Amino acid sequence: MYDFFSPYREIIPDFNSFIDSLNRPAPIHLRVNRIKAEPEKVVQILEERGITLKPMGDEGKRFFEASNLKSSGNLPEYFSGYIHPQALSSCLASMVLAPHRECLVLDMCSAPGGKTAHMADIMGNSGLIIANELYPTRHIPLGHTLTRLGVLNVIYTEYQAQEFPLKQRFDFIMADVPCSGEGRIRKQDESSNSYPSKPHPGDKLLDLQKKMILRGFDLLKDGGTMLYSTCTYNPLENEGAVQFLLNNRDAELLPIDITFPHMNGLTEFNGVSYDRQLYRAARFYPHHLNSVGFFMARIGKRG
Amino acid sequence: MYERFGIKKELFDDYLIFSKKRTFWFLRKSRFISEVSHLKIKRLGIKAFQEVGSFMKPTTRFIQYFGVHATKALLIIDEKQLRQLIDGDFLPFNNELENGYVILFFKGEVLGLGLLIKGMVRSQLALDEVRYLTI
Ligand SMILES: C[S@@+](CC[C@H](N)C(=O)[O-])C[C@H]1O[C@@H](n2cnc3c(N)ncnc32)[C@H](O)[C@@H]1O
Repeated sequence: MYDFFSPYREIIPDFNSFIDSLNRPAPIHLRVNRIKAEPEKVVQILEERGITLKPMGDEGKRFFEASNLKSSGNLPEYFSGYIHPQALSSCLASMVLAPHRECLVLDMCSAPGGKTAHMADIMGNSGLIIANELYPTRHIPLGHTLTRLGVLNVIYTEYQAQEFPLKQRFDFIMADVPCSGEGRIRKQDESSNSYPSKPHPGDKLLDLQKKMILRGFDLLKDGGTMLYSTCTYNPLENEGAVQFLLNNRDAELLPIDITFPHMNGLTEFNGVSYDRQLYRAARFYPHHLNSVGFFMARIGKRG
Repeated sequence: MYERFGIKKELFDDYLIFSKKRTFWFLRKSRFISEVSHLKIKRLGIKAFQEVGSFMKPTTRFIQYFGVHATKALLIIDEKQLRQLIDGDFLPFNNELENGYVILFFKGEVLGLGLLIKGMVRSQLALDEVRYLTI
């Protein structure tokens, strides 16, 4: 594990704690779905069931760590769509994009739908979200998630995100692109000694990410906002893709204003320099925020 | 909906209803819908009803969403009764009500539907989803 991530030794602060955190399984995080339920009521029901809930962040009763819960899928509150098991870092993506009510949103890579559903919650189930996902098989879990959570402001499409039709522009775009998934590498459970194998981003994946970020930007209305995110630490897939956008379009990086612990984006890695604006991107590490490793950049199109 | 459950029609004013082959879908109204009509749409909103014979059968997800506004044809069940329904048993329904669907409330949550026939309610919850519920 150590060797595997050692190329990131210089960019991940407190590297040994980072490695230690990977030896512990990720906790179960729950997001309360305000489309269907009042957070206070849900907390009360879950606590009555003996589930210990630790609120995460200052956002009121919306995100919780459920320390003594093995899985949430068997709870009646899951079936009723009151809760959704979702990594905290994934929840932060929709929070940072913060789509407004009554606006038009595109989720370029939607399945299995955690971020789409969270955006619908933030939008009060109003306006319209286009939930795009290329693979038909991935539309099954996507549909299950969104209908269980009562998402009614959604139209599903099946385009290649990098070729999504340009005819209509959007106020907000979520570009949670396919990635090598390094941020998900953690010990599966306390007793196991195995880790998932390290995925490696091939040139094809890097190329796809660049095409997606460009298309996402081109699909924004003037004054619109896009969130580019991955669950990987690899700068090539993160700062590298954003740099590609900055080289090719008049995009600007917007600040990410959250209280959850994170590091700034990189302005240099392995002898490659990135635009100074990249410090505005955010990197989330499991030894800071006990969740999936994550990257996000909030990108604006000048109005 | 109003006749059976007392759910007021006005609640549906904010939604567009699409139908295809005896199935009805609800989508939240929005000024953007006409603007995205060039897109090839795979599906939309949530499946709301299905015409089954002369009945309109609401889907579980639809009733979970709108059922909180129901004022009649409700059955409040406890842990033991939910287990009985999941196990395939019938529950007695004491109020005078015509045969048809009833909304199952469990701990204040709308779980889904039961079907009332001759004073007894059977579960309409998808068994593969509720069988393993930790009640
Ligand atoms: C990181 S996941 C998205 C996770 C999702 N945003 C969520 O929060 O649940 C990336 C998704 O992109 C889909 N995908 C892969 N290539 C794609 C393409 N060319 N166009 C659109 N979607 C694609 C994958 O099938 C996968 O479901």
